[in-house]
Amino acid sequence: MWALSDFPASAARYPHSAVPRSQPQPLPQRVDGLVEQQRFDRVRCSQDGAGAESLAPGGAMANCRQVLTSLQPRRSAAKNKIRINQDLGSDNMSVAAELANEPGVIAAGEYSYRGDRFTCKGEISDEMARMAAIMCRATTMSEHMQVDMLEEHCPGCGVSPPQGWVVHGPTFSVCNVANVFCFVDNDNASLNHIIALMRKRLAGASHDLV
Amino acid sequence: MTDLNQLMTLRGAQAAFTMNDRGELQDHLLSDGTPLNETALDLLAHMCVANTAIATMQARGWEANSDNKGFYPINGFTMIGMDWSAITAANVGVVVSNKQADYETAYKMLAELEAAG
Repeated sequence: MWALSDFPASAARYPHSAVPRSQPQPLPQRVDGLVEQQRFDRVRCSQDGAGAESLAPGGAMANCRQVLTSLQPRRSAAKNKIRINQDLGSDNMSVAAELANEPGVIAAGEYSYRGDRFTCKGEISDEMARMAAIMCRATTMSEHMQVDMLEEHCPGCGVSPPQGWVVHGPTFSVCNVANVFCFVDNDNASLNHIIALMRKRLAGASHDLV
Repeated sequence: MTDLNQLMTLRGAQAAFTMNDRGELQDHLLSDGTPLNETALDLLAHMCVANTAIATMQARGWEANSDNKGFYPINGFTMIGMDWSAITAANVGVVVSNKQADYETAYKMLAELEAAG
């Protein structure tokens, strides 16, 4: 996972998305080996799992563990990180990684609600992954605000809490459930299947951090 | 005139509605027993118009900044709530139960209704 502050330009453009300042903490440094691995897997993760508490259970950290595990023979420094991530993550493949392996899914990723971390896997550049995470988070936060307002008009009508949203384009669609998103090729993927899969895997996702 | 009765044939349909470009509710149908009401549908229509506009802007910016084409123009926006989803395209929308939702069929039907005017 990368921090948005890894992109100096974006940190200036999106100051609200930077690392919280109430209790300044040292930013995690990327494991050097990940940079090389990332070119192939296009997976971003933090070195020490900082910020994992803000991601969905079994999500990004399980993804990170996969990358770090693959680096184990080459990067002794990553060994400790593997242990940490094994403690935090589940044995299952992360939701985003699972989605990325689905037919017709171009890319899948996850972002933290507070906006300082994201991870993405698929055929998408790092910069576009960063932009995708920012846009998806913005839409999700807006949806929560809107649903809170709608709930006032029809208490208990079954809208709250919102689970996600879909933007349907002519060729591609963007699906978001909780804090996980994926880009889907309309002709080669089943939107029904993707949404059902995301809803099932993320049924227990917490909204407390929204 | 959009045939809302056709949308109500979708599995799990709870409501169907039309709205103007500002999101104001123009016409609607409600199924028996749905907890939704006209006021909620009006706000829901405003939400869908607003989110479609924002998504359209994002798609425009995305395509301008990358080689990834195929997102613009936005054909539809779906809000997935706890128990139901609101699926909209252009000025028409339908609310379906999540347990029975068929998003692909809904989008096709909405596109046909849009084409039919």
